[in-house]
Amino acid sequence: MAPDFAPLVRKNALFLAVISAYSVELAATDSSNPLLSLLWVSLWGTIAWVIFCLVPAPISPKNNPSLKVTFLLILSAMVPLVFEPVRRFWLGNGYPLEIVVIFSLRNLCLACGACSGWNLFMRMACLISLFLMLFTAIINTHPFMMGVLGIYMVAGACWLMLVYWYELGGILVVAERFVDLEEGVPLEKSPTRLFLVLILVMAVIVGMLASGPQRAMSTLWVLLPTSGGTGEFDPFARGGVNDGDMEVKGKNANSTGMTETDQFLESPLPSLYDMVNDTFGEPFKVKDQEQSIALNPSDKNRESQETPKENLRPNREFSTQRKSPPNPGKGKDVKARALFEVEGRTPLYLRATAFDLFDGIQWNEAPFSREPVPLEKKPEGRGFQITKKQGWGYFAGSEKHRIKITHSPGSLVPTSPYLTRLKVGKVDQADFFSWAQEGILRMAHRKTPAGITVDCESSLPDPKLLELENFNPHEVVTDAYLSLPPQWKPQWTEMARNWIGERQPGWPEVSALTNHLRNHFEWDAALRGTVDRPDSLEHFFQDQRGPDYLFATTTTLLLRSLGYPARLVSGFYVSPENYDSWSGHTPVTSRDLHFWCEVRHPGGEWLIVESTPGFFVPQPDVPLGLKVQAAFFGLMSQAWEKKILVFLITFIVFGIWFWWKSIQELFWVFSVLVFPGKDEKARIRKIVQLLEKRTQWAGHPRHGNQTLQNWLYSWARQPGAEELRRFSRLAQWASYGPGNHVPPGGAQVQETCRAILSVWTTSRFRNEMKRIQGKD
Amino acid sequence: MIIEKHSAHLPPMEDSLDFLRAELNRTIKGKSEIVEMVLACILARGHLLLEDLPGLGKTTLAKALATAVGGNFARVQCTPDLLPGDISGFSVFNQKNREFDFLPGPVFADVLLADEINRTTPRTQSALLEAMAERQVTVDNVRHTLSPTFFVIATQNPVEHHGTYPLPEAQLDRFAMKLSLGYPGREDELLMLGEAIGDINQFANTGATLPPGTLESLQRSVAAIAVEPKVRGYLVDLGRITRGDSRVALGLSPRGLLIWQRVAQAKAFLEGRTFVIPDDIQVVAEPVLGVRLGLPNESSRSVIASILQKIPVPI
Repeated sequence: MAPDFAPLVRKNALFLAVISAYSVELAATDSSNPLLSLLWVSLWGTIAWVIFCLVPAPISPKNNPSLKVTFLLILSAMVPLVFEPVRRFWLGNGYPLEIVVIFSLRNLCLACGACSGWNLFMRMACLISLFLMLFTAIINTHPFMMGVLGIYMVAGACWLMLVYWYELGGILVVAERFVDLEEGVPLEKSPTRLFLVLILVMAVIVGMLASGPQRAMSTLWVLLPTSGGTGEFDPFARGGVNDGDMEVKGKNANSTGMTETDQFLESPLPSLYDMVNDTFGEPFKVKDQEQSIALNPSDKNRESQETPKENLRPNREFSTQRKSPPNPGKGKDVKARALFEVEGRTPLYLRATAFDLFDGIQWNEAPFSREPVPLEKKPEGRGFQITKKQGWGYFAGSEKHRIKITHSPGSLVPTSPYLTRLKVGKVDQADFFSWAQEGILRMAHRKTPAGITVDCESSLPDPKLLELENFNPHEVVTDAYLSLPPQWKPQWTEMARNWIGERQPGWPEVSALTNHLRNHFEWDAALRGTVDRPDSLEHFFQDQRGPDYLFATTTTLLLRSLGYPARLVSGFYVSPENYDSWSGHTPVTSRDLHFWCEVRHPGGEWLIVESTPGFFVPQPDVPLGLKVQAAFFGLMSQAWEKKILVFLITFIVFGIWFWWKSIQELFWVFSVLVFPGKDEKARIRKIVQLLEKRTQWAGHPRHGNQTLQNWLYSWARQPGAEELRRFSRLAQWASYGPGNHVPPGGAQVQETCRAILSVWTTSRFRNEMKRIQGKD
Repeated sequence: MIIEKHSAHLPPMEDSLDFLRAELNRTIKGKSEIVEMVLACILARGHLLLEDLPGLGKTTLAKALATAVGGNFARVQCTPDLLPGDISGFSVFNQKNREFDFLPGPVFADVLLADEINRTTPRTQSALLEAMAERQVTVDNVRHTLSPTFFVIATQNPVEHHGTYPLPEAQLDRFAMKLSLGYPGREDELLMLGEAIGDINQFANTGATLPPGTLESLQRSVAAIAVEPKVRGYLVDLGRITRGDSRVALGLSPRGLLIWQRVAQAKAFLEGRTFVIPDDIQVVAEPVLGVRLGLPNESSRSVIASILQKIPVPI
């Protein structure tokens, strides 16, 4: 007789799962101690082994697993996916998404290994462990990995051999069972159909990726759970697009950054990096500060010759856990983490430079405005009021921001757009400020020092009010902000006309253009022009994707072709995603550099026009009442669009509510008829329960201390209730009679039950009660 | 007459019960519920305490019952000077054979009527303890077994308290139930008066009795009545709740619980059922609990009813 290989095969499958779990731990922890990983895997393995011992083996391994076991398996796989957001939120650290998915698979693999009594789970355990080994071997470079792979290979080979012998077990039977074999145990059918379907599905996916529309490919691509694969910023990602903080915290933080910088500098195209340097000037140095402090001569303190230490973080903290300083009097530098720190509502646009003329390739910075800044000094050191031009009807609400300058941005004074009030440090003279370009404030004849704060108060334009504004492009006098390469004008005008359709002149046309770009073009920050493809705009239209400055350029040129004065603006986009809840500030770094378009309102104000997907112009804060109102009307309009469906759902819901008792009764009667119970007693008890429900629905339920006989006889006293009296005796027998006693009434049991079901309905009980109360 | 005197074969149980009912109802008019309780008590092999005013038929009922079940009847009129030996019996010296002969007392009857039991001293009351609980008496260190169907009907007058000795709790617990006959209705009294005209010995019984062994057979049948676990659970829950009730002087003892179950079995038997239902337990609750919870007569009914309300009935 062949030995029983089944337990060995199961144990081997579990072993494979444990090895793959170890390789996952190595990949996840990467550079940490492999023995610690081994400790963790020992824990997981022990749990799996305990479950393996506890879970009873099925009668036949070919049986379908029970729903409970399957549910528990799925639950084990879900644990890391559920736990990760909690971990990120509470502990502040986390794993990249792909590692979390691998953890989920590891759990599933171990759980399948623990339940390998079922053939299905055993095979799944081996298959998933193989995938995990391959995946972790690719992403992991740990020296232990080779050893783990070797062990897995040996164990896997053993498993294959054992499975081979196990399958032969059906043939190598003892002589006594040979007859049974001849009678024919049906061989397990190979899942040919399943394989064919799988191959077909794979072929469709590959075919779609290879030859399908680009949109489909890109959509599928961003769904892949790789670091940054979705285009979203993930602070826990390790590599790929939008590298997270983890990369900078690595051992060799410069490797990625330097490579990017080098490539950038080698490019013949205008360098954004250079432009930032040119615009913002040199970094902050304390010795540049020209400020002297008068000391009291009688004070024993002496002026230190040393440079005071910097603290360029937006706020101060004081820890109560300290040790005495090794050298009292000397602090440490606290480096700035950003160019500015913004306190206030985001998103926020900080203008830096505006461009007017475009020669087809290059934008020229607009000349500095000669107009004085219309600042009106407010008393008591409250800064300045900005005197506004005409046409302020489209503004709704105001906002306050505090911008802390941690690195000197040259002469630029970063302010929010649509400024109404300004306070810069302790400056109380209006002639300290001048316009760079209109709406872009700078310090006149000096640099803006680091370490000061700029308090801004600004208005916000309401798009709905803008749509009502008289915004006729034809009335605007031609100027530099309307210039366009002459040969481009007809083509661009035609394109713009196509995009705007039949919309009203003014803001609706502007919105139509931006909406078209946002809906049909894709933002790709990494895409840059090269020597081979110098004409970025042409490729932008071909690929329908590109960086933000091409979006802004396109928008500006399209608006100009329609007669709207527009300009390209560079600056910083203060993203709400970067908000630091701990400090209460949003840091602004060079990564937030952004280009956008601005169109000039006939009143003179430059309005931000954002056409790059993923960036949002701040909107006025809508009161809660208006939001609720809008939501209500939106819901109503949607309901009107799908009125038949809404009517049907309402009818069904109302019907269920109205006939709820009848539906319940129907369900109960159905239950009694279809599932009458194992014997007569069970059936009668079910009918008793139904009668209890019916009296409850009729509004006269049985009280808890009312006996069955009392209760039934209280109804059976009425004339014409003979069957209920008979049933009362039956109910007593069913509830309290011993098992070996025959029912009273004998053959009439079925008839009595049927009569009770059909006659003593909820409405009968209701009518009987009315009759009783009428008599009283 | 359906039942022949000393018939060789036992009649069907239904006939025996109908005969007992008829005999008792003939004697005591308009008290069929009380008669049912008395029957339940005797079928459960319990002892009965009748508490009522004089002249309401306590003694008549006891005598009728004793006659109907076909056993010996003995009556003891309890007075303060009654001695224990007057009940259990005593030994006298026989001059002929020069030995002490035991003269059995009234406890050796099948039905003993202890009239106005609370008038005798506790010492004499206690003489009944062994007889009631174990159906045996010990005199001069010799144990004498009583009749297997030994049944005590004790009466007491609830009004006159002077010169009485209230029954101790230990003795009360040995009674299965306490009943009050109460006054009969007007129609029943008219009927009674009508029947008395021309009859010089109206309370004399007809002389018909159950055949020997019938009562014992009936009692065995009662003991075999089924009590399902959930009904037993209901009974136990009721018993336990009496022990935590502040109005109750003495919670139900396990012996009381056993008697309650047996009386409920007897009630089910009388109803013609082969199993006990919660209604049986509820119906006999008042007489069974009334004798052993130490409740005042005036509040006994309401307290017991509220106890029954507290436990939901199993279905």
